[in-house]
Amino acid sequence: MQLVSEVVELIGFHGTDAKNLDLINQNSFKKSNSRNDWFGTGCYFFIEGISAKDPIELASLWAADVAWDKELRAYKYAKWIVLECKIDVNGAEILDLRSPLGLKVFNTFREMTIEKIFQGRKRLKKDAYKDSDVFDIMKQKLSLKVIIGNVYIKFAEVRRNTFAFSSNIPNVTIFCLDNSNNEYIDAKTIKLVKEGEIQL
Amino acid sequence: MNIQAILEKMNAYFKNVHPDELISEFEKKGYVFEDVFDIDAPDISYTTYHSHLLGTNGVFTISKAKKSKINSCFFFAPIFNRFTSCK
Repeated sequence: MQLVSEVVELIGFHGTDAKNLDLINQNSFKKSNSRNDWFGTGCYFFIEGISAKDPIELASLWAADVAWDKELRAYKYAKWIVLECKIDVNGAEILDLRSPLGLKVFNTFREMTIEKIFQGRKRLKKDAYKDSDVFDIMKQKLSLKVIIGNVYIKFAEVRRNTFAFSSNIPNVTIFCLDNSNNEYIDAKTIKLVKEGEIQL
Repeated sequence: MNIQAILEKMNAYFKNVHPDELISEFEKKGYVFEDVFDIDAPDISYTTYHSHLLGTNGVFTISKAKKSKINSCFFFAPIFNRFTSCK
């Protein structure tokens, strides 16, 4: 029996360099490829959720934060923008980690992955495991396009106020979109909702 | 989120995927694996006092795999022990 899922509309906010606006208007979002990213490779958006701040403000904080290049010790850009995007995606392509059921699915997938690898008489040699790698395999094998969840992000204002600070308690809600084929964001729906400049 | 549809996809995936295929997915991401020879082996070795060709009091581990004749067992007998036990 084939399960029919309804289409879900998500509204997300993406903060980035103002120079990327032209590219984004052509629906060419740059995919994040860092293994340190929360839910694997993809485009990240803030959404309404657990934060006391609204997602537009969070996206603007993020855009200003990632402008700083740690190695060069300088800003990569001064002008930033926040874009609102509407994403229509099938319910069967969304994994929502805000719900206990969604977390159970991820935990089951991770446990079964480790078990399967062990059945192949292998185990990890070094402690190099990253959840993001499991998310990438999960997205690919289960045809998942969106992972939603609550995570902790240490914004610059916190880093400035308290130098050595870390937390396991989530403070924002985000989602990661696998938009490899540029099929989920309709360029016509992208709206510029905020712009600003970093005071150098 | 359609949890039932996701669970069906997940069950079908794990039912059909071969361990080597999954291992290869992780290797592509730069993971390094070590071989596990003895899936059902106890975590620690234990000492036996049985006589054997290489002496006595060697550290001797035996797995369930050996019992089921799937795999060979591993035997570590310090040669030094053989001489000391012959005093």
